[in-house]
Amino acid sequence: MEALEQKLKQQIIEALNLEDIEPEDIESDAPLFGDGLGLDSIDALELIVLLEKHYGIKVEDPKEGKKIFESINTMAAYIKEHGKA
Amino acid sequence: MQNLTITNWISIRSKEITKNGERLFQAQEDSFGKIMKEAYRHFKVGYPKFFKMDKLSKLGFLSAELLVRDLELPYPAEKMGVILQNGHTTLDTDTKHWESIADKDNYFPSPAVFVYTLPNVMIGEICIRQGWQGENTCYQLPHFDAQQLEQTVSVLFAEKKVDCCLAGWVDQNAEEYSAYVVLVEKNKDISKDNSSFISQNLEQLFK
Amino acid sequence: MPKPIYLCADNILSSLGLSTQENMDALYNQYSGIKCYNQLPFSQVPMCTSLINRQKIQEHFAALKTKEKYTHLEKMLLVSVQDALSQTSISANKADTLFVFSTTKGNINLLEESHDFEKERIFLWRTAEIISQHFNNTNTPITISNACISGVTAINTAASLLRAGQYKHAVIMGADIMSEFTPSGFQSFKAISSKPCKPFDQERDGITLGEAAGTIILSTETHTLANKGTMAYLGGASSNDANHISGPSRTGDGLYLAIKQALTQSGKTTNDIHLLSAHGTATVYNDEMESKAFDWAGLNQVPVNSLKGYWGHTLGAAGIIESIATCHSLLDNKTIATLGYSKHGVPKPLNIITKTAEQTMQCALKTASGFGGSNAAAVFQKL
Repeated sequence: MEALEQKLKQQIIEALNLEDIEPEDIESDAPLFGDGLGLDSIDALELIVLLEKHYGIKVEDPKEGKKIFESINTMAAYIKEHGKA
Repeated sequence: MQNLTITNWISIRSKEITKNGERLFQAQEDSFGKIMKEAYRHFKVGYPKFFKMDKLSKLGFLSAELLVRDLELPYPAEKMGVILQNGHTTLDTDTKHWESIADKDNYFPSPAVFVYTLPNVMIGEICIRQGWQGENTCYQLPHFDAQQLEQTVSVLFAEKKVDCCLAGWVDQNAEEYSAYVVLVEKNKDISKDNSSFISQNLEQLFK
Repeated sequence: MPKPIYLCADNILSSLGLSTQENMDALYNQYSGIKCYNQLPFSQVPMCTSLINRQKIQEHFAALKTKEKYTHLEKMLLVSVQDALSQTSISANKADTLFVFSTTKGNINLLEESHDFEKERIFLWRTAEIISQHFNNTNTPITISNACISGVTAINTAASLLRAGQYKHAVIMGADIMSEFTPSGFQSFKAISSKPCKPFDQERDGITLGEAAGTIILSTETHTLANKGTMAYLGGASSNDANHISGPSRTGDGLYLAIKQALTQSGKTTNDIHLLSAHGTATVYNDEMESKAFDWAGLNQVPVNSLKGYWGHTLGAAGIIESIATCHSLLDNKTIATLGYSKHGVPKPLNIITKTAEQTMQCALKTASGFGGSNAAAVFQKL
C-alpha cells in the first residue's frame, strides 16, 4: 500500500473515532460516504480539518469536499496536488 | 391525581451499573472512558456511533440503552419523552474545544468536538438510537433534584404531551460521573417492582 | 381554549437597545443591529455580528447599586429582569414566583479568561441562582440548556408549571454572550455567513451570531402588556427529529410534530394562525427544513418572518426575544419584515413578510429548532 494512503487511513480512523477499524479494513477505492464507512456530514467537516491540520490545505467550501473525499485514493490525489506538508 | 409509575430504573456510578435493584455490571477498568468502553462491549451494544460521542453522551446513551433494552414500549414515537437533569454541563468537552482554539498558531476547532458542547445533545443521541420524537428537555441543577424532576415530568403527562418518559439525572466531569434514570409510565399497576413516580421514591432509589 | 397564561411584562436587551420599545422601533424601521467587523477580539476571521453596547449595560447596571461583582452575562440578565419587573406589581421575592433561565453556554467566557469568580460560576444553574437570589427569590430556579430551543422551551415549561398550580408567576430570562467559544465552533461547521444572514433567501449561506438578553414575566392572573392589550400564552410543545445531532431532518417531521402538538395544546388549528415567527437561521438546511415543516402543517399562506436579520442568532435569548417581538407585533397590529430576504430560496412556497405594514392579527405561532435534533413551538393569542 502506498505510504500516503496508509497514513491517511490511520489519520482518518483517529480523527473520526472509528473504533474497531484497522487501516487494512479500508479499501483505497471504496466510497467513504454512503454505504462505505457510513460517514456523515460532521465527518466530512472533520476531514476538512484533517486536511488543514496535517497537510496545510484549506478547503473553504464544504461542497468541494464531496469530490475530494470520495475515497482514500481521491483524497491522496488531492493532497499530492495541493499539499504543502 | 395521575397514576404515574416508575416501571424501570437504572443507576450508573462508582464502576457499577444497577438496574431494577440488580447489579448488572461491575467494571474492571478504572478510568471513565475505559469503563464506558468496557460496558459497551460487555453488553454487546453494537452501535459504532457510540465511539464518536463525548463522555457525557456516552453515559446518557448507555443509561437509556440498558434501561429500555428488551422492554416492550407500545407508545407512538411522538409520545416518548426524554427529560434529563445535568450539573456540570459539558465542561470536559468545552475544555477540549477551548484547547483546540486557545493557541492561535495551532488553531483547529473540530466540529465533532463542538457539537457535543451542549448538554442536550446526549438527549439527541438517545432519541436517534431509540427513534423517540416526543418532548425533550435538558435541565441544569447543582445535583439530582427529585422534586423538580417530579414537577417537570408530571406536567407533561397531565397535559397529555407524553405517554411514557425517560427521566433522570446524567452528569459527568473528569472522572466523576453519575446517572440515575427511570422510565415513567402511566396506569401501570403498583407492584413490588413498580413504585409511584414521586420525589420520595426517586430519592429512595438513588440514595 | 385552555386556561390562558398572561404576559405581564417584558424586556429585550440587544444591539438595538435596552428596552422592548427601543427594539420594536428599530424592527419596524427595518434597522439591523448586525455590523460587520474586519477585526474582533473573539474571532480569528472577519465576522458580522450583533453586539450589545457594554458601556450602556454598565451604566444601567450601576443604577442597580449593588456591591456584588457580576459577569457581563449576569449584568445583562440583571438589567433585563429589573426592567421587566419595573413594569409590573408582581413581586420577585415571593414563594409563588418562579425564575426560569434559558441559555446555551452561559458564562463560558470564564473558561477563556483568568478571573476571580468561584469555580462553580461557569455552571448554568449557578447563574440562575445568582440572578434569582439578587431579587431575593428563594425557590430553586429552573435552568434550561437545550441548544437553540432553550428560550421557547423555557416559556413552555414555565407556563405548564403555572397552569398546574405549582406557581402563580414566572420570571423567564434568557441570555447568551459573544466570546471566542461559540463563533469558533460554528466556524468549524462552516455555518457562519461572511455577510449579514439572509433567511429563506436563495443566496443564504449561513448564520450571523449575536448576543442578547430577554425577560418575559408570565402570570396566571389577568394582566395587560405594556399598556397595549391582553396577551396570552396558549400552549406549546417540543419534539425531536431522532435523525442527526447537528443536521436538521430532511423532511421537517420533527418540527411538524412540535407544531401539531402546540396547536393541539392551544386548542387552535392552522387556520387560526395569523403570524408565524420562524427560526430562520439562514443556513441552507435549516430554512429548507422549516419550509417543509410549515408546508406539511399547511402554513404556506400565513405571513411568516425570521427576525435573525435584526439581532443575529442570539441562541439562548432567541426564543425569548423573538417571542416578545412577535407578541408586540400582534398587539401593534404591525408586521415585522424579514431582513435579508429578497429571493425565495426554499423548496416550499411561503408567505414571507417583506414589509412593515398595518395588519390585524390575533394569534401567532413561534417555532425554534436546535442542535440535538430538538424543535419547539409556542402559540400566543391577543385576547
